[in-house]
Amino acid sequence: MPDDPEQDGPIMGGVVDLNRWRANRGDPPLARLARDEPGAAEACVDAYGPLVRGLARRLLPEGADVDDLLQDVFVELWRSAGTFDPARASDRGFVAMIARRRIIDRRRHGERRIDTVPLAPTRDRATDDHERTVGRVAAAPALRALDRLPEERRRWIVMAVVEGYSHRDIARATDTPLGTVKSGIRRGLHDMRAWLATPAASEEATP
Amino acid sequence: MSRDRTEIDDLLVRRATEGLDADDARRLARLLAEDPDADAEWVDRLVGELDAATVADDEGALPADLRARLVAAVPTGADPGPAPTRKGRRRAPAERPERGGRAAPRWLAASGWAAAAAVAALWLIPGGAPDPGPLDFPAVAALSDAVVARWEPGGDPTGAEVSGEVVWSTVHQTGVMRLRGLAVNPPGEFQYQLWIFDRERDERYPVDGGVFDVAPGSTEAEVPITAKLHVDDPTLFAVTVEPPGGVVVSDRERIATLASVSD
Repeated sequence: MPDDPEQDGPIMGGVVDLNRWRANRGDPPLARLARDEPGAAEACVDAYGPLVRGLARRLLPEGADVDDLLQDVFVELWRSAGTFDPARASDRGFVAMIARRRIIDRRRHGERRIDTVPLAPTRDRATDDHERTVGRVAAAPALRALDRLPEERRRWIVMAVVEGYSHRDIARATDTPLGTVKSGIRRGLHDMRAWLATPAASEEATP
Repeated sequence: MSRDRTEIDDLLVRRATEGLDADDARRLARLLAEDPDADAEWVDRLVGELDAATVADDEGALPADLRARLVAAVPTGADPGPAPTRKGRRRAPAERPERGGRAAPRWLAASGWAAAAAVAALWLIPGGAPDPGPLDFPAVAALSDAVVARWEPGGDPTGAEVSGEVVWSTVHQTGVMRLRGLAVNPPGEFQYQLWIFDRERDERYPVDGGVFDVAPGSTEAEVPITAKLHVDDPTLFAVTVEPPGGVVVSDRERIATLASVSD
């Protein structure tokens, strides 16, 4: 990745600290892309390419055409960059949002691909995934918010978001009624949203 | 929280984690249209932050050839214009070469269009008129007056495997085509051109909806519609195969795909 003066400081262990970014740094590559600045495409591909590829590899079955997806995502990013609002999302969060929409869409429309998604995770695996993710809490506000949730809801959200399991598979794997899983995920995300809007979230995230 | 807002949030969560089928997508669009104060993207944003925080970057930089392809795919450096207009340059050379005034139209025997259109399906989404927001397919589909129609093969081999939908908002004069299975075209040999039939216009004179390409390696093309004239009440969308740059009047010899809006 080429030197980019905007990338020292706000990126900590691969995690963007939004508050530090807002307080101390200039525009992220995404904002430069919105202005069609020279070199913005290169900066975005370097800054966000590994994120998009990592997300695609995580959520798409093995063998999926990730490179083709990346091209779709970056073109879509160029189209959508003008809607990026740093007051509402981090630049990496915005990129991940755009990428996830494409990935979910591809999963839904690639019937043969969706068939290869591993089903019925074991309770042990779900727990391991949860522990591994929560262990990477670092300074990301969203992960701090996640860590504040009751263990069960936190685990369901990790399974749904990080591992890409369907709500039905989560219910099956955890021996929980489907309706309970759905409402638990919704309420957990609600609680995270509410906490992230509090001054405490900003204060905890400030180094 | 109201029951409807709870249902909206349930659908938003499912959209961000599993995706929605067509019925649920329409249901969400309807609920959002009826509740313009609802934040339609809060789950997407939060899940995006979680993704950004949990995807490891430890795989390092992209391979050089992939990086070069991605950089080349992003058409920066051109005059960006206002954000919605920029969508017109996505993937496709949406701006065609300047042409002179329109030649006399030759849309003869439009009954052929009407007959072919009878096979397509339609959904109408009633309600108010929320802010259009980002104009990708889901955003347009969520507009209160959005009309969605399915693509069906139009007879030309390029569209034999076609599927997908087109969404159009008359209030906002914007739309997006989502096409799967449409053959990749060599832009130097031929390009696709969209035509929009408007109930308020003579069916011999469909509105030019723009020229676009399907890039090699794509499994799906999402193409914004850049209608050259105001469309009041679309009844049929048609994609034809035309010479590079498109034409003023199509001879309709090669119809790749059709999407009909029924009453």
